[in-house]
Amino acid sequence: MQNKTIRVAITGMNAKPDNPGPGLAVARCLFEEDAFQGEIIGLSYDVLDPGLYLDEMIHHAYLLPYPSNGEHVLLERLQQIHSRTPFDILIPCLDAELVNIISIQDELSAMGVKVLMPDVETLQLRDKDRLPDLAKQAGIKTPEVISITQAGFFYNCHKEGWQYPLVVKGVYYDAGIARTPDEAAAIFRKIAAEWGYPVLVQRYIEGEEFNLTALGDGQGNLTGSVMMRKRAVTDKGKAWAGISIYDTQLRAAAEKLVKALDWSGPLEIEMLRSRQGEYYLIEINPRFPAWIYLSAAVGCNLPWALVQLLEGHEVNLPEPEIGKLFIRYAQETVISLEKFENMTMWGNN
Amino acid sequence: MNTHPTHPVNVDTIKHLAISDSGFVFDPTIGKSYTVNESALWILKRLQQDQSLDTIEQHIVEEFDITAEQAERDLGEFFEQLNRYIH
Repeated sequence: MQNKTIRVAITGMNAKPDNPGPGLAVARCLFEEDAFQGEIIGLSYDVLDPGLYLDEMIHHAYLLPYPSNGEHVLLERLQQIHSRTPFDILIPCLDAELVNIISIQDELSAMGVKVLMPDVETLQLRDKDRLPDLAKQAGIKTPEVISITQAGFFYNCHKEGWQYPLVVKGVYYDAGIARTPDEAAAIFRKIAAEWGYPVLVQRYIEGEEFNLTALGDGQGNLTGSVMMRKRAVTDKGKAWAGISIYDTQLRAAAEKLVKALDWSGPLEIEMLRSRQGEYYLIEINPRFPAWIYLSAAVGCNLPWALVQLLEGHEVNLPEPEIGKLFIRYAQETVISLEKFENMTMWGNN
Repeated sequence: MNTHPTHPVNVDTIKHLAISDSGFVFDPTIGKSYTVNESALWILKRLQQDQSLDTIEQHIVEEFDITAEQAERDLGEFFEQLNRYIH
């Protein structure tokens, strides 16, 4: 049990229905945990991110400068926020902000703010273009990946042994399955325009996607794990409905990866299971997923476990309940013009 | 009883299934759910009880009043269909 009042700052308060950030789900895990006595500070980048206005759960809310402004601007803003609303823990929830936050960990620590994250080198080991090396080290299968900068690749790739369909992916976000060179080139151009170069091409494996989220303790151990199979997806392939499962093979693969990386903090592992029952590593996300509320629903509240770990408590998570189904839905929050004005002009509520 | 179909479905997989009397079946390893008819439910429950295919076939003959050949054919079709979903 936790009696101390803890103030937790959480990023990723965006919640567009087709691709919500994980921040609100992380906040909900803490908010609904009986043992959590504290305040939640919502941090986000866009004035229209709804989590900034959900007062019943998010006690304070602030805008952050976009990650492209760099770590110094971020640190300055966090110091400003901290002087106004002190917080003890920071849970980053978006990929694009992680390098900046890792870079200012010492300064955060000096402010009394705890975070559990890997170092930059470890973070980069799970970059999509480096997955094959990591998978090899961990003894796990993964589809071959190459980086490209020219759409012309798709018209000649058969000469290098690449057959259609292929998966075309951005280094950080977005992916599409292409069945023809023209389709592949179109996806390539869309991803390059939005996310820049290089673009990745991955061999297509026919199978079903399974996800696992857990915490790494930084010493090669996995703390807790919740597994989920998507039952319905949005246009962007994000889970709209999912069900908790338990597969020893998936768990074993996650253990190998966390050990190979000595991973610190939250992560999500995405794997494809072929019809033959073999797992292929597709992606490792260095944060909690947007479906993390399922972890609380199955009795294995991982955001709460993270808070406990950071507070120096021993964490003993039970096995998650299997067969719990979640179905996401969209809902509006209504705010006054005054609140919107405050967020727009001053970056806080 | 002659040679019965050798079913390709892993018995361990079947044992792990959560099977409800309503005919709702959930596979906790891959998260899929299915609905099965009364006959399929009847067979799945016996497979979970570790009954041999010979015994199940014999029970089908007695329960549904059909010939051994028909029971064998029905079982074969059942496993063929089952293998499409559960593996």
